[in-house]
Amino acid sequence: MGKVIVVTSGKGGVGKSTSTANLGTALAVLGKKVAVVDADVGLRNLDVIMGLESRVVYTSMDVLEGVCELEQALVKDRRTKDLYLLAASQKNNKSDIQPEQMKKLCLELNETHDYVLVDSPAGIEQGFQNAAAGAHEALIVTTPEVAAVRDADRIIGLLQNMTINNLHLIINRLSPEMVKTGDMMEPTDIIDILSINLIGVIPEDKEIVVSTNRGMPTTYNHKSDAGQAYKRIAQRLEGEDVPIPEFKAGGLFGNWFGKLFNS
Amino acid sequence: MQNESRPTVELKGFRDGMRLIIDPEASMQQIEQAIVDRMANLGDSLSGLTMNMDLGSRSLNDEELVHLKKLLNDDYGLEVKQIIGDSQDEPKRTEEPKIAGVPALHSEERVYDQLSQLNEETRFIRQTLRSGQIERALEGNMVILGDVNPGAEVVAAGDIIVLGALRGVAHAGALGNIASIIFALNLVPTQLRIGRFITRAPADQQQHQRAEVARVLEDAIVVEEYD
Repeated sequence: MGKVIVVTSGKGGVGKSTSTANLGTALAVLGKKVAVVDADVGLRNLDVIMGLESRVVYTSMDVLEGVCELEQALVKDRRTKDLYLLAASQKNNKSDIQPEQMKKLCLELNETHDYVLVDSPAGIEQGFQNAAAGAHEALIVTTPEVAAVRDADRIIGLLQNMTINNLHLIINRLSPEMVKTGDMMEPTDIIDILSINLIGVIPEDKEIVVSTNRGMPTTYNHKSDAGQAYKRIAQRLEGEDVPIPEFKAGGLFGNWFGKLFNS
Repeated sequence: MQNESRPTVELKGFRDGMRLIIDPEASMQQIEQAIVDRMANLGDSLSGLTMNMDLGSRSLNDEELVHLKKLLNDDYGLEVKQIIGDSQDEPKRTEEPKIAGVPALHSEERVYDQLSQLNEETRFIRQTLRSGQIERALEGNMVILGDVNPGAEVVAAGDIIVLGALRGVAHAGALGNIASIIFALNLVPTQLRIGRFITRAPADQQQHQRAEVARVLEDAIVVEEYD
């Protein structure tokens, strides 16, 4: 028995799928048995980001329709031990799956995996409702932009209404240079508004574009700041006390965010 | 006698919700005009709400009732839930439930006492309001133990007290009471409304360390440090 965690944001393009792929990989590297579930029916891309597109045979829709067994639909990632992907159907719509069905799938995966990470589509409609249906916890991804934070706030309200109260915040694409010049929201401003637990800050990193295009999560790249930041988040999910470093223009210094994380 | 000082239509908050109280002496035309005037400054802040219509001693025929309900619904998004009145001489009363399923109230249930105005109810909310949430207290005041985030909205007939940061939209005195105030420990709103007055935050808004209170002074909303 593990946990089902939905990765969500409200706004599109802030890095939900990238975060799901990287955290799934990082947790598997830590030795956990992980299933990542693409809940973006009709616009699937988690398989692409993870480089598993060519190996998808069955989707969650096929499982629900009884075409195959759940086991058969899981695509094993050969680069890591115990990392599996359940792809979304590309030819269906989000309304073709009901929250109850999704919940059943997640809880079934939960029986045999330590982590089930569900990649939610953008928006607050049925796709999101489906993705969150079976979740015990949620990772809220936002970028340091007013619009993204606003949508994250809305999503947090909706999750709390669904009694999902164990919420963690990931601030993605933080640019230390822009924070320094006062052109970007600081993590403290974001936490002030969202008032949930910060679990990690991912710095802006060009490597991400390269890695998602190649289908090779940055977690495997020891030189990537973003990849290393995802690894630290995986450790924190595992309950390890890893301070959040402060990202400064020109490199990593200090751990001012450590106190935020602990609070 | 008292009627002379009473406006043709009045919006008031009661325990069972908002009421539109109509002067029994006024003509249909006057009523319509008064509704348009009354609603003019409220914008869409009441849209989606239900209200009761208090006709007092007057009687309206089906056609007139349907007309007023349509006006309130189509132009202001207000749904009339119940018709309240005390016209015993009116044969219509028994037939009234027929009109769009509106049940009639008995005259004893009329609450005209000014006491309910003085002794307003206060609604407490013990959570942070997040984007997309809207909370209303049309029977009185609202106290929020938490923040009001950008994209969230609070509406009250009376005062609004935020024991936290007010970053969203607040509308105090939403039924027209411009003596209402808005108080926040950290007042950095997107927009403030008191009665028919609206103000928005200055572009160069900075964080204040002290509690502030907004009120209407000489036809404008002013914000002062609270002490």
